[in-house]
Amino acid sequence: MSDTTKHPQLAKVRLAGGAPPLLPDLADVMPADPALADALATEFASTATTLSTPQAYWAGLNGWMTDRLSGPVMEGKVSPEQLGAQAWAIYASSYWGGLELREHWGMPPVIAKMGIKFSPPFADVQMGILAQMRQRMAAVNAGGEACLALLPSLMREGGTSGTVYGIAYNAGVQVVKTEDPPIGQRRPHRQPKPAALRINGRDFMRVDYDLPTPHYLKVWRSAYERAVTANPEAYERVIVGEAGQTDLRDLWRKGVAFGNTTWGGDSQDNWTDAYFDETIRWSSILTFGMEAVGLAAIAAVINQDPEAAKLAVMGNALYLGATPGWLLGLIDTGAHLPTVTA
Amino acid sequence: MQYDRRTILAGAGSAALAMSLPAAAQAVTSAGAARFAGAAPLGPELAKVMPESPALMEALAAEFAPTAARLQSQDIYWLGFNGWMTDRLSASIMDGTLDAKDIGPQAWAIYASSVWGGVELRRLREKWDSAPAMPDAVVQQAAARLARSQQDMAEKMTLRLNALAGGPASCLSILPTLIRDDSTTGPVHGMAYNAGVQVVKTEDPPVGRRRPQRPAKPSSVRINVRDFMRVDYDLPSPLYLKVWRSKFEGAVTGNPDAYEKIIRGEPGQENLRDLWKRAVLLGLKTWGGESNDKWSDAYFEGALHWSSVLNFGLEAMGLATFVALINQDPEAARRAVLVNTLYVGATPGWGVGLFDKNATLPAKA
Repeated sequence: MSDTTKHPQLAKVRLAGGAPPLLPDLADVMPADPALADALATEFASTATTLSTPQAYWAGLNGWMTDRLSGPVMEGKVSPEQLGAQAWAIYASSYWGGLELREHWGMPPVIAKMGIKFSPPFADVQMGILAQMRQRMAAVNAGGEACLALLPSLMREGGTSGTVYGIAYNAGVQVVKTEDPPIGQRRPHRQPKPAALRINGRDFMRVDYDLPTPHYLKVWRSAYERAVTANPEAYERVIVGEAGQTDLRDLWRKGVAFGNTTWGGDSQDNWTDAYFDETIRWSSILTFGMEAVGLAAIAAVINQDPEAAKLAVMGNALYLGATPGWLLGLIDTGAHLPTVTA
Repeated sequence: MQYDRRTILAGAGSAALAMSLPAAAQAVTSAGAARFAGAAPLGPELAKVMPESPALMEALAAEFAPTAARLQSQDIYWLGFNGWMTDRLSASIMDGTLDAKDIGPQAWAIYASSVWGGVELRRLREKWDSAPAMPDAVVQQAAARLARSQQDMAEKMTLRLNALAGGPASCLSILPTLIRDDSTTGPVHGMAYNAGVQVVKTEDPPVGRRRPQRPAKPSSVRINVRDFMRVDYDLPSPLYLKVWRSKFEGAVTGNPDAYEKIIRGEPGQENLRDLWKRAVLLGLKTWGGESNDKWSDAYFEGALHWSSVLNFGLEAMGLATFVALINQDPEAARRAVLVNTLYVGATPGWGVGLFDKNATLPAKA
């Protein structure tokens, strides 16, 4: 998949220990691949030197990895056989991101408020990932038409695994942290970062970052615009859905607004500015791949394009362990981060 | 004689670099400033409200010099200077640091650099085209339009200057009129049209009309008919624009009813979302297809870059206009009118440069 796996001599960083919980059934579809994690950590090494604090290493590796792996998937360069291990790498790095956050700043208030009572090995969470991964991989293995058939339901998933909701929520969280009321809940001690990330409830599927955007995302943004322009009626049908289904614009608004209930207010008051800034950066980067998937999903359905549908489902599968991984990292209080050696 | 304008300007007026405008303009009175005088046609009526300021131009040229030195080609010097200047001058307006009494010369600087951008393009077209001469009829028609455009610019300047002279509340009172101006001086139309022009050059059908010889540049500028007042560039955005984007969102979120009321307008007025759509689509009709077939790659790339930069101030203008109206904020209104005034000569200036043979490039530039 990556240059580093083709050239093992580049794999100089080693991550030892700290593997996330992985039930055998989940390992069947999302196999642990420590060599891949090492290769990615090696490739990340030069970027890691740009971090403003080492306390954001795992958050950075995780965000960077989602973008690094989304590119080839959304460009059609990844086979279904390679996808499971890549999804594991994102799951694992998310878990490490969660561990890192709690280790330095304690359990976020949002987790306490949720009243989560899970305990190792967190079978419910893992089974949730497994069910979604099996569903996606079954479609991918059956081919583009099966992916096309699956997409309307993936678009309407009301969690971060949804191709619409995931973008809206994750981008909305950054707005909550950086914008003043009534849009966000920027805390007085945080430096203003106006329009660092732009998303709102009005402009459906529209996110703008104060960062250079990767080529694969620009390509899918362009493909999306062409699809919408060429067939506005089909676009509206996709949004409205079948009778009784959620209108995707409502789901978008809900996703954007939900960020206000999770990471706003005092939820990150004790973070240093350096860590805070890095989370804005890497969470924005993490949204790149999600956005590309969301746009590809709609373009695929509008154009009835099986190949685009397959890429959208694969890109979606890549992220299935991301949010659960962070959650497990936060609540797995007995776990330890991997040792990084170079 | 051929001059490398990048090196000439790199050595000129460097002492002015750290100064703020227009203090810098007042300090620079060297002979170098004179080269800018008289090179952009300026009738007496227009000169009253948009006075020539060669010293200001000299100061701006000095400040632009490091950027000019990095241009891909000196053939796009005036194109770059013009786009850069709109952003440079918009910043101090939108930050609230410009006094209204200084806006006339600044509007002239934008007008003049637009004229020179047009002259530069006219000359390049003569080089690129095998049959450079324009038919007399076209020139005569253009000359008649240009005569009207001077009058039009003078009227627009007067309207805005009167509002500024009347104070912030007076600015607030003319914004409902300005916001429905469906020309490039309109706060909604201007940004939509100009951004649409970049999309038509870079995107494939059915969105744009990218020519096969041009490299694909997906999503270089993002604007569409759906997402009202939303533009995104594949460039870092200046702080003043980010600040006004944020204020716009705050205003819309804080008072969505007022926002919708402004968009709908009074009975019989055009809905601003329709105006936005028209402007984007107009942009998609003007500079696409064969219109840029003969441009060099350097000019094509430069036009895309600097026209995007030119849009920064236009976008801030549009957003500030809404913020002012939604919040009934006189200071936001003052800045919105000021930046609108700044751009009054931009598009007409390009027309003058392209079609008026009396327009010349500054002698030594």
